[in-house]
Formats: sequence, C-alpha cells, structure tokens
Amino acid sequence: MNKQEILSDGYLAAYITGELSEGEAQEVEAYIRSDQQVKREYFDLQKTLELVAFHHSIAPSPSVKKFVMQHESVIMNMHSPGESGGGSRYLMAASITVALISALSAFYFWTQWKDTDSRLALLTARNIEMAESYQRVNQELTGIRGDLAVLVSPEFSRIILNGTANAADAKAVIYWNPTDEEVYLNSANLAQLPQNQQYQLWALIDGVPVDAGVFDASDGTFQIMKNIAKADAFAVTIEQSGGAESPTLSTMQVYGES
Amino acid sequence: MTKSIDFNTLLVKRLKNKDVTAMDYLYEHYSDALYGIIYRTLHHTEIAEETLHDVFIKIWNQIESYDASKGTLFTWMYRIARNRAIDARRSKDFKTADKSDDITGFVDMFESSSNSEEDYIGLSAVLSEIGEMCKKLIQLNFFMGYSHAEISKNEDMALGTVKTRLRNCLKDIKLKLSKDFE
Repeated sequence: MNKQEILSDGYLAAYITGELSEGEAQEVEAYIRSDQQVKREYFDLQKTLELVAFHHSIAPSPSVKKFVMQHESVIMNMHSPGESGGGSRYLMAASITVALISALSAFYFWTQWKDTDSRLALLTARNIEMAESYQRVNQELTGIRGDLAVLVSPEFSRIILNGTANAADAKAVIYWNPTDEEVYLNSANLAQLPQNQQYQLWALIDGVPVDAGVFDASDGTFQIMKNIAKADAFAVTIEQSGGAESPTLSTMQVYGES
Repeated sequence: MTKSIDFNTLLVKRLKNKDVTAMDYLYEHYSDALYGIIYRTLHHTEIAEETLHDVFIKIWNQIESYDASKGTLFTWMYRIARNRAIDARRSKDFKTADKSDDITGFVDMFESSSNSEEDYIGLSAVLSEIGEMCKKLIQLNFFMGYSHAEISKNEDMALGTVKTRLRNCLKDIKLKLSKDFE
C-alpha cells in the first residue's frame, strides 16, 4: 500500500478497530511513525471515534467497578508496585499474601482513601489556582495589548497635561484620536482623593469646557473617557463624586493644549 | 481535549506503576464509553458487564504493552473492549443465552437521544447530519463489532466500498466538528 491508499482507502480506521492483518498493520504503523500527514489523519480519526464513543456511552451497574477494584490482580499489585506475578512455586506464598492482604485491606483501604482524597483535593485546588492565574494573566495581556495598540497607533496624539499652581508635580497623559473621538487617560501621578471627591476631565472647545468624564487616580492603567471630537485643550479639576456640570476652575490640577 | 495529552501520559505512567488510584480514575473516566461499545455488541446486560470487568482487568494487567507512539490510550482500550466483546458474542455462553450473533439485531443508536449529559461540541447536531448510511456503517463497525466482511455481506456492498465509506464518514464528522480539532 502507498500513502494515498492509506489515507483514502480506510486503512487507518481498520487499524483502529484491529481489522488489519499483521503485515498491513506494520505497514500502517511505519507510515504513522514517518509521515506527518498520515499521523495527523490517524490522530483525527482516533479523536473522532473517541468523541462519538463518549457521546454514546452507557453506564454499567456500579457493582462492576467494585469487582474490578477488588479483583485479585488489582489488589495484589497494590503492595508491590512493579513486581510481576511469580511462577507456580510462588503460588503458596502468593495465596498467603492474598489472605494477609484481605485481612488488612479494610484498614489499608481506609487510610489509602483518606490519603488519596486529601491529595486529590490538594491537586484539584492547585489546578483551579493555576487556571485562575492563567485566566488573570490572559486578561492582563489582553488589556496590555489594547493599551499598546493605542500607544503605537499613528491615529492617536499624545497630550501631556502638566501640573498647575495647585499641583505643580502632577501630570497626566491623554491619548486622543479625533477621528474616532476616542480619549484614553493615564492618570499617572495624580494624588489619591478623599472618598467624596473625584477627578473630572474637561475638553476645552473655543474656551467652553465640555465634560469628558470622571475618574479616580489609578496608576499604570489607561482609563477610557467620554468621546471627544474637537478640543483645543484638556484640563482636570477636582469635583464632588460623580462630577459637576461645569468645572471648578480653582481646583484645576493639570492642563495641556492639544 | 487537546490539552489531555500530557495528562494521559501521566495516567499511563501511574498505571504502569500499578497505582490503584490511577485505575480508579481510568474506570471512572472510561467505563461508560467502553461499556457503550460492549453493550451494543452484545445486547445482554449480564454478559456485557462481565466483559467490561474482564476488559478492565486486561487493561490493568497489560498496560505495560501500551505504546503511546502507536495510538491514544482510548484507541488501545477500545480495541481490547471491541475484541473482547466480539469473542464473548462468539462464545458458547452467549449462544446458550439465546442470543443471535448476526446483524439482524440492529437498532439505530443514533435515533435514541444520547446518554451524554453535555453536548458542548454540538456532536448531536453533527451526527444528525451525516446520513443514514454513515450512521449504520459507524454503528455496525465501531460500536457493534462487525467486521468489514460481515458488513459487506449483510449490506450487499463491495468490501472496498465499506472501508472507504467508513473512512469518509468519520472524516465527515471530523470536518463538521473541525473547531474542536484545532
């Protein structure tokens, strides 16, 4: 058989069910080892069958599990991992071992179960922890990607708002895309305010202040502000929580012209 | 499911070390799927459950011979289950249980709603789209243990056609589910 025949004539499916002759099976195995396309196809078929099989699963009665887990070959191996069963001259020894193990098994199972149970709980907890931190990192990454897109976009102009006499050291940065009207703010080193106060951003258009949204000081992050299409300058004032209709100019913290 | 590769490697390693907790997990995770195949091959609860028991003991005793480079753990176990169920069907016990081993006992498993609680990949919808011939071939070959030759004879279809169609049917399911394979 050649590769094309393997891929199109059902050899892989027949290999899965074990219906190939030994010679055919060896040929198929050689292709699976050496050819990526055959390997991929084989993997896909296995997975399809597994999905369909799980989809059409049927629950056997619970007693089957009990008999499996208490089967002597399962119990036998429990105390001596890795050892294989001996020949006939070990039969006597083996039967004594079985008897002993049976006598001790109740206690053993109990301790084993306790141990397994706590290990499982620990592993499950760790697993959840890992999944959560992965999720968190992923979210952070998405956020950072979004921020970076703003930073590198030629559409955004960067406006530095410098501290006024009220707060000489304060600084904030605006990223503004006039076409899409998007405004992002980095409140970098604005001071924390008391609970009842918030910062408010204003866009000045021909000297008239337009509300561009309230925000709290929060370093290192971009905050999305209200859309602004036109502005000669941006300014930040301190207002009561929730913002004001018009700016309290005496509290102006930073100011910058676009 | 793609992330389960490493997990299965670990599971197999623990089974090879004769770790009973791994066996417990294996049973919990795979017994229903394997029983679905065994039961559909035999249609006899008692014999099917006995066969399932033997299959798991065989898996436990022969895990050393499982070679991941030749296929997935499921495929390996599936093959054991399928062959064991076929053997049971051919056995004297089965025939004295007044069961027939010919294809006439065919019941379309795709007709009844599946036992799977979750259908998160939309398999039900896909399986309802694959056509009657595909459903029958997949069920006869993969779930009821009938060989290509037996199907060919029963369905009056050339042997090569049975093989090619089976392959195309599985491929069809795979394509329709392709999002889950990426």
